[in-house]
Amino acid sequence: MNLIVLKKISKIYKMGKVEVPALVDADLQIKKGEYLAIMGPSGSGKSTLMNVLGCLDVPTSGEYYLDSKDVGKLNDVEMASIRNQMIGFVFQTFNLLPRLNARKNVELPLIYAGVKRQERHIRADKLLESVGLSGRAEHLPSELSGGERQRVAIARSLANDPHLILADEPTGNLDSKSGEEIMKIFDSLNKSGVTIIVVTHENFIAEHADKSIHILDGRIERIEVHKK
Amino acid sequence: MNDFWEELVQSLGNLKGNKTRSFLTMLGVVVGVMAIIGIISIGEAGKLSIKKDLESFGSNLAAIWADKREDTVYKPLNNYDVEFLRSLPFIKDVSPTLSLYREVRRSDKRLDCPIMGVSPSYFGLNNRHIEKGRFFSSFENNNFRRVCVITEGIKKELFERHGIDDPVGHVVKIGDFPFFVIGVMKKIELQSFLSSFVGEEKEIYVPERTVKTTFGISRINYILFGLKEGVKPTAARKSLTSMFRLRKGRNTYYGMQFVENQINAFSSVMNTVTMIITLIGALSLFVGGVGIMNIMFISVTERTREIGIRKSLGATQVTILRQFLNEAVILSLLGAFAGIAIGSLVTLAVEGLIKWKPYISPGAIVLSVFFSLIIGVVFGIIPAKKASALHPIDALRYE
Ligand SMILES: Nc1ncnc2c1ncn2[C@@H]1O[C@H](COP(=O)(O)OP(=O)(O)OP(=O)(O)O)[C@@H](O)[C@H]1O
Ligand SMILES: [Mg+2]
Repeated sequence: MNLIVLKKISKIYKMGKVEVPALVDADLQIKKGEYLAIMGPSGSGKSTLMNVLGCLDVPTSGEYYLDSKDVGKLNDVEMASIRNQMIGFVFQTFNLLPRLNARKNVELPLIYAGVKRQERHIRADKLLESVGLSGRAEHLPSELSGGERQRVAIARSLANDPHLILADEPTGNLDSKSGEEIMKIFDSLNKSGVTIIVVTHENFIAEHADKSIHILDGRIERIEVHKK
Repeated sequence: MNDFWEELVQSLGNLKGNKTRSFLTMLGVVVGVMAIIGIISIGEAGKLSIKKDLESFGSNLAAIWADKREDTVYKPLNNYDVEFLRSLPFIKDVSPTLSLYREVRRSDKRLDCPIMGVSPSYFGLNNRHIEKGRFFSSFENNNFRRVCVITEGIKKELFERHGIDDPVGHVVKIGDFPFFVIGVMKKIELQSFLSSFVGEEKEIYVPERTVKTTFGISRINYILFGLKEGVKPTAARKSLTSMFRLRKGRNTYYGMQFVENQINAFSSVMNTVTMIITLIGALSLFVGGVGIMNIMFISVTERTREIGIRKSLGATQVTILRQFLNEAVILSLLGAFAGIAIGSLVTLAVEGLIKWKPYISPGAIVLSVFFSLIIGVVFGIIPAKKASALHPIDALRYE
């Protein structure tokens, strides 16, 4: 069963008269429960692909089916609901709200899902505990280390039990030890059935995944299957 | 998403994070609301007290006097006119008023003051009360008795300064004739600025018939009369004008004034003044609203990334719109509450200073809360729309 089907997806940026093709005719199928790495040099279109997959960006052409739904035909509320329920994002720069403490940050997707106050509180604390941050719920992002911030971001991405985790260079801003901890969390999430797509430059990160998709100049070059 | 309380808490949190700015933004609304509260409250209180003062003269009181215009002749009012007025069905009470100046003496004290010849009904018509003694009676009037009622001012000048507290029973000389003082009038108690026109009264009231026989003066300055309950001044003026033309000749003219008309005229002037100043307050609220809009635009730009993050987590356009609208409305409502608080204090202080009853117009409070709500929504909606329309990825990428 395919969770994701891309058909000739292109993303072309128009800079004045110059056209910048960030993604060209991408065809891709990703099964439920897969663990995928996306690799490629800087500027090759990895983030562009991730943003399209995450319904944050709209492709210039092509079709995108997520869980058999034609994403191109969805309205704002349906897109928001997909981002809220189906997908969890983990960004390189964490993207936590600086004025909210760790718990409040984790609660945000729950607020948009309409979860009641008390349940939200309980679930946020459980999620923080699951990423090893039970003692840090009241900390502001500025009062946490980089690795801890990323773990808060992961806890937040898991708030509504998404089918799909999209992580764009989640360890890019972390030292190798913290990076390894983050990857361990992804590994165990994948074991529990969550589909995971990780963008990375590092081979040792990509080796956590089942497959690596190599991108060059906006085109999917080859798909490499890792032996484990 | 349907957690309004959570939204409110977050909005407040955002505003608290920018305390100085939030405060400065609210200032315009604060000043506008203060103006509205103050002006409407003081205006209404003033209107009330002046209306009460005018009514204390008797709201159905009116006067008629002989006048002369370019194409008319002057024909003074006489006793027959007084009797005629008294006979009219819509008139309750009548008193002619004759005034003259005479020197008033008591032993060696002298005073030049106006002498008012009136009939006993004058006091009732004017709502005047007695402080000591009594007013004169019809009997005293009809029999030309030389009795008088004095005012506070006369009492002070001729009696109190010389150690006499109760002038009743004493004799004063008006011109060459001795008069018995039979009463002292109570001072008029006025709240409004009208009191400065009344000042300290220095008059002596004597029966009008006594004036005629004693001083040989019969020219009536004006006739005071009271309209019966429910009679409209305009109707009274119309019929009196035509009746006096018939009585006194087509080429005569008689002036009239009605207290009720004065009250109405005054109220309408006050209403206009209140409206104009309320408009100024509304204008200041409007300027405050523009300030809010300005700050909200800055806030949207500053928080573009936040908007992107929220959208990536499942916030819809409506959610974002509501978030920013909430903040604008909270800003303007907080401004309104501060304005109401400060405005009320200032108003009470001013009213205390000019010795009015403390009064805050509830209507003004309702009005300013309502206005501020509208201002918050109207000026908040444009920045909020801008925020909600941002594409998630553009917002996330914003540096
Ligand atoms: N908003 C934009 N406007 C114009 N061009 C863009 C925009 N976003 C990305 N691009 C271009 O599209 C191409 C792909 O960008 P993308 O961010 O996907 O690269 P990437 O593979 O993620 O690179 P990196 O590894 O450095 O993050 C780049 O050439 C970039 O300059
Ligand atoms: Mg990238």
